[in-house]
Amino acid sequence: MLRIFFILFCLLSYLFSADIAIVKVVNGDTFAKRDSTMLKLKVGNQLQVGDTLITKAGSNIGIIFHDGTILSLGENSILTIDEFLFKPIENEFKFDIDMSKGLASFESGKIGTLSPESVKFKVPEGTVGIRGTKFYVEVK
Amino acid sequence: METVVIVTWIGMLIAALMNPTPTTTVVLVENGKAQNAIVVETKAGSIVVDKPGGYVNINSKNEKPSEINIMSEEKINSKFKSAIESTPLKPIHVLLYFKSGSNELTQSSKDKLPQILKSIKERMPCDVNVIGHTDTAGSKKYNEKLSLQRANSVKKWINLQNIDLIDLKVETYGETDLLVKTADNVSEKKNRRVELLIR
Repeated sequence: MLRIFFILFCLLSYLFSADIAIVKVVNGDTFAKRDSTMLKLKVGNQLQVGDTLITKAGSNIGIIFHDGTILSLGENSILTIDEFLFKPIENEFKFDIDMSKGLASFESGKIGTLSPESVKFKVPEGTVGIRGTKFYVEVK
Repeated sequence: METVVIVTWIGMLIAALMNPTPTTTVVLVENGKAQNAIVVETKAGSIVVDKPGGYVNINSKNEKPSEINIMSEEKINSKFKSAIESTPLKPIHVLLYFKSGSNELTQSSKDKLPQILKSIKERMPCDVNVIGHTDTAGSKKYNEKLSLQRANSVKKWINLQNIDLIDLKVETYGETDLLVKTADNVSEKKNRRVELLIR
């Protein structure tokens, strides 16, 4: 019985701690708040869903998500990765980012190509979405 | 025709000190692709920005985004400087082709190797995925093995370059993920390939 619980636990922790992005550029003091710990980020670190990225004054960071999306944050910024799911074979996509402060550059990758309606970049006052040709015509 | 939609944008300046409710600015940036548009939305309405350099401000949840204005390249580059500076190089995707029934690269693919090595070095610390495929000639089982041999031969080449990668993953699809759709038992040179994803 204990063994089954142990296997379940391992499976669950694998499912919930999957790496979704990699840190490619870091200057100065940048952190990821994960659960209740603050991790100082270095180039090569892996990021997970739920991580909040924080950059201090004079610091910045650049990351690449597993679908090829490129995100960079300038100084004094705070941004949380709320959702990221990239399963092209199963046609399952989710991408929610929540930015509460600072400067960001965002260039969408495969999720933006395959499922633009799944990409949501939230700001305090609203959201920014990306659209394919079809959706663009509808919006106009 | 496949519709490619890649959107680039650089955004968000929150001047909390100047305004009791934060103000957000979103700018669409040139991405070198035909399709490039964003939709900025609040509870009160939305606006489509589809010209690079076009920007909108949003002042509150309950107000529509502002009209679109144009920001000069110079202004964009100074305003978003600290985010632009830490933008990583784009990941690249390369295809290498193989001789029939073999894990030996074609000559034109061999010629690509120095450029691939350069792309990896420019992206250090780098993360590489090697994905092996075959055409449908031969049995499914044979092709599973062959796609692994192809992926492993590329992996072996990378390992010989003395570069310290963060991660090098090998995946194989056998004959199940064809680039050119064919019936079973068809020899097709475009399907005899290894994909390299260099991040």
